[in-house]
Amino acid sequence: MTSPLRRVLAVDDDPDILMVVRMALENVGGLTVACCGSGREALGVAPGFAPDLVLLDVMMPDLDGPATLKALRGLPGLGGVAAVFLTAKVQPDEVTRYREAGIADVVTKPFDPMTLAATLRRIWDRVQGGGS
Amino acid sequence: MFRAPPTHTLFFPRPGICYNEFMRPLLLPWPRGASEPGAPAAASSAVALPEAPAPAAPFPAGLLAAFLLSVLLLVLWGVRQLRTARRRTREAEVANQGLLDEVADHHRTMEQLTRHASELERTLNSMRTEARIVFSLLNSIGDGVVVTDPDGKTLLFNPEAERLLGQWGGDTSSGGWPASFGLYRVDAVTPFPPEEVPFVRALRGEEVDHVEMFIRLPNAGEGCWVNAGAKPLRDAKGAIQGAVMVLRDVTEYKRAERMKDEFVSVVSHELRTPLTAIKGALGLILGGVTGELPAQTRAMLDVANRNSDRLMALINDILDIQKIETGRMVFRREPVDLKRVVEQAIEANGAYARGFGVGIALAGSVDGARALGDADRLGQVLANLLSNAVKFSPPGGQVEVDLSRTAGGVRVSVTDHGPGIPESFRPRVFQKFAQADASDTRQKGGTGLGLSISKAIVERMGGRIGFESVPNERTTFYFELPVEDRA
Repeated sequence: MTSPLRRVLAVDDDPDILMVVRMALENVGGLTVACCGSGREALGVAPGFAPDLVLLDVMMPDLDGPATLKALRGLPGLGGVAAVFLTAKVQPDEVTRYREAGIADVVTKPFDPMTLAATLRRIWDRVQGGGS
Repeated sequence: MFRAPPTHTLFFPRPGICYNEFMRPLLLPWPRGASEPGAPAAASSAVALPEAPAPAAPFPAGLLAAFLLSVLLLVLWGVRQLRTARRRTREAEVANQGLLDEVADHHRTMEQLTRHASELERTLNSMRTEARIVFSLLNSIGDGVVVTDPDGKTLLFNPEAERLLGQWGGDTSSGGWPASFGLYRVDAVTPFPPEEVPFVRALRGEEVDHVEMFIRLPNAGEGCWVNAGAKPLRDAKGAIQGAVMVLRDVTEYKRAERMKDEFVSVVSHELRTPLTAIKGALGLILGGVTGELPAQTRAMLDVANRNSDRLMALINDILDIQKIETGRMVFRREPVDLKRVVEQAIEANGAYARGFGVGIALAGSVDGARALGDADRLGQVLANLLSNAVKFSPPGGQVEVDLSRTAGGVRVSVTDHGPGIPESFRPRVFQKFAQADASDTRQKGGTGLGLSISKAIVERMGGRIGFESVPNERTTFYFELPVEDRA
């Protein structure tokens, strides 16, 4: 039995994009969102927030998206957390590399804020249903 | 007066000289008082002659006849001998003339040989000069030159070839080149197949151009990229006698190209990031998330949103061009249902067309036509053709899309009824940043890259792209692809 997507942890080093993401997911999508400006911040927030899904920028200083995800999944209770990369770098070889990091999907920048929540719900449902 | 000589005198042509039977001149004393025939007696005393003997008793007649016969025989014998001598002389003269001719021939031959030797010497000197020039060139040019025999054994390595390849390749078999010289494909990782080394291909009769290889010498530093070409060396009958391979060091060019790629990639990414925020914010406002908008505010935000779309399209197109030019655009190769791709493209671009008051209609179709390629890239081509057709259609106009069979393939065409393409612009239609009118980019909103990208994509899928235009009547852009029919 699948549970609906409720809590999303958004991680991006660009505060403007983070603001758009929050509004798109909260105001349009009705989701509960926690926003972090870096991977390291996300590692501190995630255990307490207990996200269903993590929306991660790929290119970030210090810890990039794949490194942040790996570290998050090493935390108690977050070993199987679903993850989606939000990135402008979507060359086929890059997407292949992201998938090897164990993500559910990639959302391309720029994204449509009016449909972002719906896109994440579709991915979540697929992951919950055991699809790839 | 005639008298018998004391010896065998035969005749006297003038006083004092007579000839014997052997035609030897014989000085004969003239009788005292005798006069030369026809000369006065007083003048004939040049030589004093002894007193004439007393007249002898007359000869008997028989003896005289015998004597005369002897004389006659002697004369006849002498004449014969004379003729024989003359004949032999002539023969000797003829024989001598042959010898003389032969000597002259030899002389002429010698002269010719001397002349040929001189010419040969001049030719040799000229060849030596040319050889010196060629070797000077080979030693001084910036390209590596390798010459091999028909078996691939190295005959010549100029200094640049030795620098690039790190060693003289005399003993390396053609199949051993990739391992011996550390040849890799342009990615600097994949070992270069021995059978594809340019001079090996040339030995098979191919003329090879622009093959990029990476050379990483064993125990050497960074390595270098080379652009290689090779041609077979043939004799007069066309038989392959070897191959010549030319290697050009393009390492600096590659480094500059890589820097440019990285620059474009970084700039594009850095441009996309703020655009993502701008588009996201505009999208939320225009989507009503922040509340109702006054009409004028909405109109202005539409302008901002439209232009951020345009900027994003330009960035995407520049990235695509960069990927195409560097061979990094990835194409899937799978059966594509062309009718489905066309229908999806019409649907996807419908809203854009409606914004211009233009309709898109499928005029003709072919069921089951499949091409081997990348559906997303074909969708990109169709989006380019459709957006162009829409932009140049008059308001209220119609764009027609047609899918039809051709010999061995299928044609997808997009027709508009706009002003057409000026004759002067037609040769540049598929060039980058080409616009018939410089103001088109601003007026029509295109990047000037769409058709160039479309051409590259279609050609990568083994097809071709073209157009037909009748001024103020219609313009049709089309592309043709080989079809993979399923039974």
